[in-house]
Amino acid sequence: MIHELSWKAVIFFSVFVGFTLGLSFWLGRKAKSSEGFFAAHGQIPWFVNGIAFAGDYLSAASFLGICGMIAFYGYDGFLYSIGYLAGWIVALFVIAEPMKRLGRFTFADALDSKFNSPGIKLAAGISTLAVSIFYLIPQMVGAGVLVQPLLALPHWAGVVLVGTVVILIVVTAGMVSTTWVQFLKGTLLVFFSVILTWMILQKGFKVENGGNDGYEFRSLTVTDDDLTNDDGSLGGLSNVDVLPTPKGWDKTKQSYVHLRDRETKRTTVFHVVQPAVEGDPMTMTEAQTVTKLADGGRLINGLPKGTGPNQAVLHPIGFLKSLPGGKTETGPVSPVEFFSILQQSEVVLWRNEKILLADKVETTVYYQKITPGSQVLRPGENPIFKGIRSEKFSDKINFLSLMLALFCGTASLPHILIRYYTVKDESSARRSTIVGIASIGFFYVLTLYLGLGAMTSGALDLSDDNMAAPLLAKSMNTWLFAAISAIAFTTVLGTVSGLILASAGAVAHDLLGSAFGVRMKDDEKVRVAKMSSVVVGAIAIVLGILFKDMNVSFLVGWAFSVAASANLPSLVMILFWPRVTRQGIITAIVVGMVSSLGWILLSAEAFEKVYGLDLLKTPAIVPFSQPGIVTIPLGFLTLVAVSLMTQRREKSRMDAN
Amino acid sequence: MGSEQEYGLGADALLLAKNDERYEFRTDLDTIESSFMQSRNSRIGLILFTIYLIVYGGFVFLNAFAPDQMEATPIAGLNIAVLYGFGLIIGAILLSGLYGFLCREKSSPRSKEPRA
Repeated sequence: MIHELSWKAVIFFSVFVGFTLGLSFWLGRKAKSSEGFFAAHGQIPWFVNGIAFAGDYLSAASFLGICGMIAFYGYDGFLYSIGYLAGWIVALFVIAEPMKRLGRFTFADALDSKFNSPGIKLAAGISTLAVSIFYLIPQMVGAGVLVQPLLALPHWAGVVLVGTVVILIVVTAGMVSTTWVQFLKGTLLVFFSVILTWMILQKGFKVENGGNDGYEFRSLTVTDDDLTNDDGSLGGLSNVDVLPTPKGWDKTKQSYVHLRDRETKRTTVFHVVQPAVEGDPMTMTEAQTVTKLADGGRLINGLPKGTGPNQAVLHPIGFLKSLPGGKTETGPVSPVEFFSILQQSEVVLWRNEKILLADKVETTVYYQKITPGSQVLRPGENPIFKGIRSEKFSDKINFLSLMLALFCGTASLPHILIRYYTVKDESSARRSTIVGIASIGFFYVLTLYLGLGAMTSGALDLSDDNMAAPLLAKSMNTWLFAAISAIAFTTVLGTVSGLILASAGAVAHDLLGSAFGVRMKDDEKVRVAKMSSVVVGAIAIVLGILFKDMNVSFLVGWAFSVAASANLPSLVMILFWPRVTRQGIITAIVVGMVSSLGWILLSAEAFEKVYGLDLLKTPAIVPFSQPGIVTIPLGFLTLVAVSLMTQRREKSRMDAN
Repeated sequence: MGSEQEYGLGADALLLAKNDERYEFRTDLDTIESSFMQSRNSRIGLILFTIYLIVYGGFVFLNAFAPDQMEATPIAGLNIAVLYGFGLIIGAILLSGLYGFLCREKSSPRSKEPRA
């Protein structure tokens, strides 16, 4: 699909960026001290801080990634919504108030509150940087992906644009401006998602044969004999020839038939679905193909990509094959009817298969998969979650491990934890977390409507599942599309500014100020933090450009695993176990970080997606990809064991002090 | 909720001491009271956390070991996957609201006085 430059989106985006930058420069006058730069003087009202939690937390992965996954696979994306929100329960009930009570600028402060140990600051600072960089890469790549269709700029320009704006936001007023950007983003995201959900319910469902460009996909019922006759007729079509299987297509997992129109000479690929009962006719549904040529060019359905004559673009998809009771249209539906009707409908989903035709020439064929609504609304359809229907125990453990990492990861993310220092006391920390949970939870409920609404919107782009939510909005109203696109952009701005600020705090406050003992006056510390923000921002820009062609959405999951394994054991144990020692904390952070990172780098996911290895030839070293279920308990065990071994030494050190 | 009686044996001492006029003693009392609140909040938090952990764990284990159960449609044509999933999100919002309610501060005129 080729996206046109949307001037409305440009206007919305420019207004928002201009407003936030103006606000940042204005607020910058108030944030000269380190207290102001890192913690907004602890003066942010709890309600604003709560919405800013939502703005900080609801990253591009939440908004674009979850909606896209639901739109293409159904319920599975919602498992992320559930896991991401459940993590906030740990944050509220276990971490929030002590975090505020014990710390000052960074979560390392809280860990180190009892010991005053440079070692703890060093370990926690490095862990903050590692988690933040993992989280930053997908956000920056996402910025580049978004900018291409919306502003008609190349990928690198999007990354540089977002990077520059975020650096300006952070450098001008640190946590003060970051908070207000996140507050605005959180408010807009929830508000426009409500509007979009309401429009989905008003529109209801309709049976179609294609997407909203008006193209109707053909479906044929044919017998084996029909395929061998040469009179040009086939399953209701006329003037078509069945071509012999082209080179490279003979080893596919699915079966396909190539039909050539005798008049236009165009070839169309049909996907063959064998009948349930042998001897019955088979069904052939029209597929779509994208061929990458050796010179980098693209063929779409056999024609050069473009909108001119003899060129083609992918047809938009997302439609229902049937509704319950043989209806063709429902009209407006209630929030409950939305699911009960979909449950009894048939949805046309699309799956794909890659076929290597020659050296550096690869075709991706997208074929229809008519799926009962009851399957769309159940877990286990997406490759990530397919393991729950597997017979292999390790596949089930992988799922448990992912859900554990999501549960434990939120309360260990450094950019979330620093937001506890922007309010005045523990009560405000608690209240703002409750507001955060309410707004984030409400948004996550909407993600299921948005994703399934996109699935049946007729507007989906087969080649880019991240665009599901903006394209859904486009199918409703172009101004709404502009607003949602601009919000998707600001989603990146809000999260990236939080991450850069957390990294700057780790560098200036934890590493330089505490671990390496560099003595700095207050204004020097702010200057160092600002310089760190620029450096981290520049690194994020470079990584965002370098990782351009890689699917990096799984890095967010990795960030959760590393955060939960490295940080959570120390955070929890320092609150609830008086015998914790500084050696225990340092070792637990290092072991948690190294073991989770090591596990990830030796996993099947990394072998396949990062190193590009064939798993059949080079099997992964660890039995499943998600490390949490092993490395989080390992972090706890390490902390307990080392603390018990170092009780005496720690006591004599404390006595000496 | 929020009355001194809830604090158990320490409450009587706290009540008596509240009438005392000496500033330093009251500052100590603030600390004691704050410590009471902290441990009370922490206890409530851990109880609610355990409840949620059990319900979340039930969801995750049901998905992992009995995924077909998620397809049953017991209420209004909605399947267990949607009902349980929405239940977990709405449950988190309700539990957090309950926690906020249970942990609300008592209005204490003393807390507005300047500290040493």
